Amino acid sequence: MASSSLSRLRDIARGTGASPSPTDARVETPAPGGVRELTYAPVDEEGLPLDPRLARPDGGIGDLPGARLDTTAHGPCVVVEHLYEPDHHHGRLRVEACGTVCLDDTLDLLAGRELRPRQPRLGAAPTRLVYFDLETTGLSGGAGMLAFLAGVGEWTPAGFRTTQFLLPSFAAERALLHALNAYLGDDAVLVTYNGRTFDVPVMELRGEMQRVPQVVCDVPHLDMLHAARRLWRMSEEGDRSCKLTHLEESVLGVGRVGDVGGFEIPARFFQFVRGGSAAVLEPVLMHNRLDLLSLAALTAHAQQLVRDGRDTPPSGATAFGLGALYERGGWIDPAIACFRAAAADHWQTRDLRRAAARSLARLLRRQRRFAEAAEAWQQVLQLGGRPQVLREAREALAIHHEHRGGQLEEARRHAEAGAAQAIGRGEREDFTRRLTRLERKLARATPVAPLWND
Amino acid sequence: MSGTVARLSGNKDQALQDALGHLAPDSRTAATLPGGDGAPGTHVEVSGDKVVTAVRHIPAQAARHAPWPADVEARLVEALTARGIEQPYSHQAEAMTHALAGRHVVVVTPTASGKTLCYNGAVLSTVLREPGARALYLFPTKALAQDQLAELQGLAQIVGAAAQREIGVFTYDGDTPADARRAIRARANVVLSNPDMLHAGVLPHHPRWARLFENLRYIVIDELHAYRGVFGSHLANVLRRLQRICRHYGSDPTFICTSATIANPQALAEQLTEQPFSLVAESGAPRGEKFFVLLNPPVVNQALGIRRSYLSEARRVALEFLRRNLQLIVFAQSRLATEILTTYLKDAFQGPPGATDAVRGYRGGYLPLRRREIERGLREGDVRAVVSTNALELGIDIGALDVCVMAGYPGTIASTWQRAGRAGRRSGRSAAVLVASSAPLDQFIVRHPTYFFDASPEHALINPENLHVLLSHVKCAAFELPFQDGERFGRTPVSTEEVLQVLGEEGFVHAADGQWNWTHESYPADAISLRAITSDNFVIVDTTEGSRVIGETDYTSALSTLHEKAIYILEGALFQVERLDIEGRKAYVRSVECDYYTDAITYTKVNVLEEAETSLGEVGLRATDVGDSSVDGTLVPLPNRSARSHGDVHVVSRVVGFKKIRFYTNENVGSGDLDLPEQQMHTTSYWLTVPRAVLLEVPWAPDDRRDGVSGMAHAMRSIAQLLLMCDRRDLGVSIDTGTGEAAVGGRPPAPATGDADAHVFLYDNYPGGIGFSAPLFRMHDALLTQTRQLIESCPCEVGCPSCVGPMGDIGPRAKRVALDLLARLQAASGSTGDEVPF
Repeated sequence: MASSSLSRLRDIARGTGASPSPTDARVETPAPGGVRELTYAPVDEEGLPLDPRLARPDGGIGDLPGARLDTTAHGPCVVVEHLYEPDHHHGRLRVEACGTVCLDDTLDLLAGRELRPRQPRLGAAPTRLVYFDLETTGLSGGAGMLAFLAGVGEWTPAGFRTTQFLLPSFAAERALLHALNAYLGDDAVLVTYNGRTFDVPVMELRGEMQRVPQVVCDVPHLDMLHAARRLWRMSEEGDRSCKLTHLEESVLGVGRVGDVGGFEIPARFFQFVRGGSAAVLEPVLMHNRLDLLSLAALTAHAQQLVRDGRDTPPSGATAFGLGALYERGGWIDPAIACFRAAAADHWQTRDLRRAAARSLARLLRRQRRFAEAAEAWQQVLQLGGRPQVLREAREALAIHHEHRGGQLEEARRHAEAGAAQAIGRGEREDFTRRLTRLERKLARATPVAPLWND
Repeated sequence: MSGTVARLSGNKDQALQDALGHLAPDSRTAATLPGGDGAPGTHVEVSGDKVVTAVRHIPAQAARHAPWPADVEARLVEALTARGIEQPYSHQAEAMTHALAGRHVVVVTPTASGKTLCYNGAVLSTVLREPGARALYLFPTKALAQDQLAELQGLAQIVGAAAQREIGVFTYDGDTPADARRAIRARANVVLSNPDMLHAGVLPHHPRWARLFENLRYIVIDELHAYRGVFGSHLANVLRRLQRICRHYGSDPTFICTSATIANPQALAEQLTEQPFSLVAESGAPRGEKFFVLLNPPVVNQALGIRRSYLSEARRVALEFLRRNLQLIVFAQSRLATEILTTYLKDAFQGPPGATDAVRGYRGGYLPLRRREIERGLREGDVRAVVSTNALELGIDIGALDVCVMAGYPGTIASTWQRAGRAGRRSGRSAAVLVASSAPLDQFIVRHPTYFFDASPEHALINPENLHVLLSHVKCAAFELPFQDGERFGRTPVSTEEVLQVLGEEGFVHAADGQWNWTHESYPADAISLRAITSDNFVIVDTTEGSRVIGETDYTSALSTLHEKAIYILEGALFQVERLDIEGRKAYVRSVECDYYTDAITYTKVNVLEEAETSLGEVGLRATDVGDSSVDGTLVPLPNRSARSHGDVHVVSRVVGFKKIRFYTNENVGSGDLDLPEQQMHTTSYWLTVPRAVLLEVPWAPDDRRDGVSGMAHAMRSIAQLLLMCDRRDLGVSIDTGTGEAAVGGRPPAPATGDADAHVFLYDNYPGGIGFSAPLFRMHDALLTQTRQLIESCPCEVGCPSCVGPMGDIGPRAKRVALDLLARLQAASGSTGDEVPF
C-alpha cells in the first residue's frame, strides 16, 4: 500500500500522473536536460552517488580554494577572501583605479542623493565604500528564495579586497546574516548594481525571515544601475538594458572567459547542498568577485567622467548622458556645456544630437535664458525628424517669438508649421487657437503702423 | 403618514397577488393561489403538464432580537445605535459571543440577514480593545471584497473616531498598486482579500506580513459555500499553509465563517480549517411573506419533448410584474442569455416617459463604474428591472426587490434559495419565480416540487487529500517554511514524509539538519491555480485578427473541448478551433457565427484499481421460502442482485468524434470524426452493477438492453449532479455493457448480451478525485429512486434530452428499457427511502 502511494506520488510529481498517455509522453519528454542533470545528481568525483545527508564537518568546503570556516556564535559561516593587487589589469583599467573613488559631491551626483548625512550619527560617519552583490537561489523572490552568497568588495591599501560569505547549509543562514552585519558595521556606504530593487529587498526579507534585521537596509546606498542608465543608455556602450556584463565589456574592455551563466548558478548551489563537491561553486564565486570588481571599476570610471566633465565636456555620446546626470544634480553650467557639446558633435547620430539639443533647450528655458533656448530649439528643427519630436520645438518657438521676441510673423510661421505637424485633435486645436490669436494681433498691428509713421 | 406607507405597501401586495394570478395562461391556477391566510409552508402542486407546476407560500417571520453580548465594545455599540442598529438579531449576538470567546463559528445566513455584523462586531470590538490586533477577511471574488470595503471602512471610521485612533481597513488583491502594498502591510488592522491572493501573493512573502501574522486574531471566510469541489479542496490546503504560518508567528486565530444554506456548513467549515466549529443556524432576521412559483414552459412538440423557449417565457413572466410597477431581478444562466433577456425586456418595457433606463443588464465584464451606477439605481428605485448572471447572487448590496425571476434552474438548491432571497423585504410580500429550461435538472425540479421544497439543500463536498492538490500545496508550504523532520502538513492522513521524499527525488526539496528545505529556482505558487487540479494548461489563441490569447483550459478537458472544428464559447462569443497543437499546448481559434455548439464523443474505459467499499443490495428474505415453513427465515441472497461500489479507478478515454448541437433546441445537426491521442486518469468513482441475471430478465433484445443501460446512465448523471451540488462537467459517466467496451456521450458499441454484468460508472472528472464517490455511494438509493422519477415523469414518448438522452443518440426503446431495469434493480436492492449520505 505504502509503496503504491509512493509510486502514485512519483507519477504526479513527474507530471505523468495527470493525463498524458504513453504515446503522448514520448512526444514531449521534459526538456531542461543539462541543468536537471547538474542539479539533481549528488555524486562524488568518481561519479558515485553521495548520501546527501552525509555530515560534512568542514562544511564541505575542502575543495574550495581560499575558503575558511568561521564558527560564530550563530553557527558556521564560510568566508572566502581574495585580493586583486593594485597593478592587476581589469580591462583597460588597473585595479588601483578603484582606489580613486571617494565620497564627495561627485559620488552624490552619481547616487542622485546625499550619501553623507548632514548630521552624522554619533560615532557613525559613513566613510567606507562597500561594493555589494548577491547570488541567490532564483529570481522569483519570496520566502523560499535564499541569498546563498553575499559578496562585498572594498578598496584597501593592498588592493581591492573581496570577502564572500557563503552558506554551507540551509541551517547556517543566521550566521551569514550576522556575519554580513558585522562586516558592514556602522560606517559603510553601499554601492550596488540594481541593489535597490533586488539585492537589498532580498536581504530585507531574509532578515525578516530569520529575525536578524539587516544593516544593508539602512545604510546610504549608491545604486550604479541608475547612474549607468543615464550615462550610457543613449550611446553605443550601453544597450538599452545597461547590464553590468555588457557595460564592463563596452566601457571597461573586460572580456570574461568561461564565466558561469546566470541560469546555472542556483543549480550549482543546489548540487553543493545535496552533497556535491564545493568545487562546483568556484565558478560562482569567481563570477561574483568579477561582478564586484567590475562594479568598483565602473564606479571609478563614472566618477572620473563626472570630475573631468565638470570643466571640459567629454567627446562623444557620453557628453549627453553626463549632461543628464549634471542636470539631475542641479549642476547647471556643466550640464549646459555637455548638452551643447553633444548637440554639436557631428560624429554622433542625428537622434542623439536632437535629444541633446532638446534637453539643452528645455534646461535653458528653465534658466530663463530664452534667446539661447530659442537657438537650441532652432537646432532641433534643423536636425529634423518625426513630426512628434518637432512639434514641441515649433510650439516653443511660436511662444518665444510671440511673447518675448515680439516677432509675430515668425511666430505665425512656426504655429502654421506646427499645426500641419500636429497629431490628434487636442494638439491641432492648441495650434489653431494660437494661430487665431496671432492673426488677430497681426491684424491689429498692421493698420496701426501707418498711423504711427504719419 | 404611516397609513400612507401601509396603503402603498398594501397596493404593492395587491399588485403582486394580481401578477401571480396571471402567470399561468389558464387562469384556473389563480384561484388556487393561497392567500396570506393560507396554511403556512404548504404549496399547491398542480399536477400534470401545467405551466405553473407549484406555488409555495412562505409565511412572514418576525424579528428576534437579543441583547448585545457583554464583550462587544461600548463604543461600537454606540456607533451602531447611531446607525439605527439598537439591538442585534439573535443570530448576530450568538455569533459574536462565540467569536469573542475564541470559539470558531460558522453562521448560516439567508440573504439580507445582516451577516456582516456577525464578524465585523467581533473584529472591531477586538481591535478597539487591542490596537495591534489584526484580522484577515477572505471573499471568493475581488468584487465582493470591494463591496464590503466601503461599509466596513465607514464603520471603522466612526468607531475609530470615537476611540481617537485610526483603524486601517484595506483590500489587498491583484489590483493593489505596488506602492500601496507596503503601507497596507504596516497599517492594516483588517485586510480584505481572496484565496488566490493569499495563496500566491501573501503566504509566499510571509516575512513581509510578520506584523499581520503575529497579531492575527480572526480569519473571516465569507460565502463559505462557494468553496466546494476543486476550489474548496485547494482552499483547505491553503488554510493548512495559513495556519502553519500563524503557528510560526505564534498566533492562533479564530475563524468566523458565513455560509448560505447548505446541508453541511459545520462539516464543511471543519473540513476546510481542521478546527472544531460552533454552528449558528437560526436566523433572527425578520422576513416578509413570500410566494415561490415553479413554472414549466408549455410543450410545443410532444414527440421530441421540445418546449417553448424558457427565455421567452421568462420575458413574459417578467413583464407581468414590470407592468404592475414591481421592481425585479431576473437571473439568467449565461452572459449571452443575460444580454438576450435585457434586450427583450428593454424592447417590451420603456418605463414612464422621461425616465432613465428602467431595464438594465448586469454581469461580469461590465466596468466597475457602470456596475456601481446600476446598483445605486436599484437601491434608489430608478432601475425597475435588472437582468443578471450569478454576479448578483452573492452579497453585493442592491437593496431588497419585490420579485426574483430565474430563467433556468441555477443548478443547486442552495443557489436557488440564495437568488430567491434577492427579492423580499423585511415586511410586505415578495415572490420568486423559477422558469425551467429543458435541461434534465430543470425538468426534474419543476416536476418534483416536493423534492425541491422539502429536501435539505446540497452538501458541499471537497477532497483536500487529492494527491495532485496536496502535492502542489506541500511544495508551496516547503517554499514558505522548511518542513521539520516529522512535521505533518495540517492533519492530512497522507504521509507528509512520503510526499517530501518524492519531492526530494524530483529536486524540489532537500533534507538536511533535521529539516526539508526548498531547493528549486521556481516560485511554486505561480504554477498552481486554485481553480484547477493540474497546472498543465492549454492556451486558446484567437487568430481572427493577429493573434492573442483569450483563455486557458486544463489538460483534462482540452481534448474534448478544443479538438479541431470544436466550437469554443467565451462570454457568448463563438469561436471555432482551427488547429490543436497538443505538444505546444495551444489551440488556434477563429471567430465564427453559427447556431450550434459541439459535444465530443469520447470512448472511455474504466478499470477498477481498488474497491474501497461494496454493498450488495441483494440480501433479504426470500419470500417464498419464508412464507410457509419458518417465520425466522434465514437471509438468502435474492436472485437478481444489484451491487454498488466506490473506489479508485483508472480511466482511459479517447475522443473519437463530435456532434453539432443546435442552441436552445438541442437538436443534433451534424457530426465528425476525430483522431486524437488517449488520455489516462487515476480518479475515484462510484459504480452500479447491473447483474447479468437482471439483464437477461429484461424482455428486450441485446441492443435495446444496451440502450436502456445508456439511457439510465444519462439520467443518473443528471440526478447525481443534483445530489452532489456539482457542475455537469465535474462528473464523468462510463458504461460497460459487460463486453469490455465502454463509452461516454454515445452508445457503447457492444450490445448488452447478458453474458456478463453491466456497469455504470460515475467518476470524479478530475485526476485524483474531488470527493464525490463515497457520498454518491451512500446516496445510492436516492439516486435510483430519483432517476426513476425523472424518467417516469418526463412527458416525452420515447426519450428526450431531458431524461434518457436525445432520441437520435439513444435508440427507440431506451426509455422503456431503462424504466424496466430501474424497477428491477430497485426491487432487488430492497431498502427504500433516502439515506443520509454522511
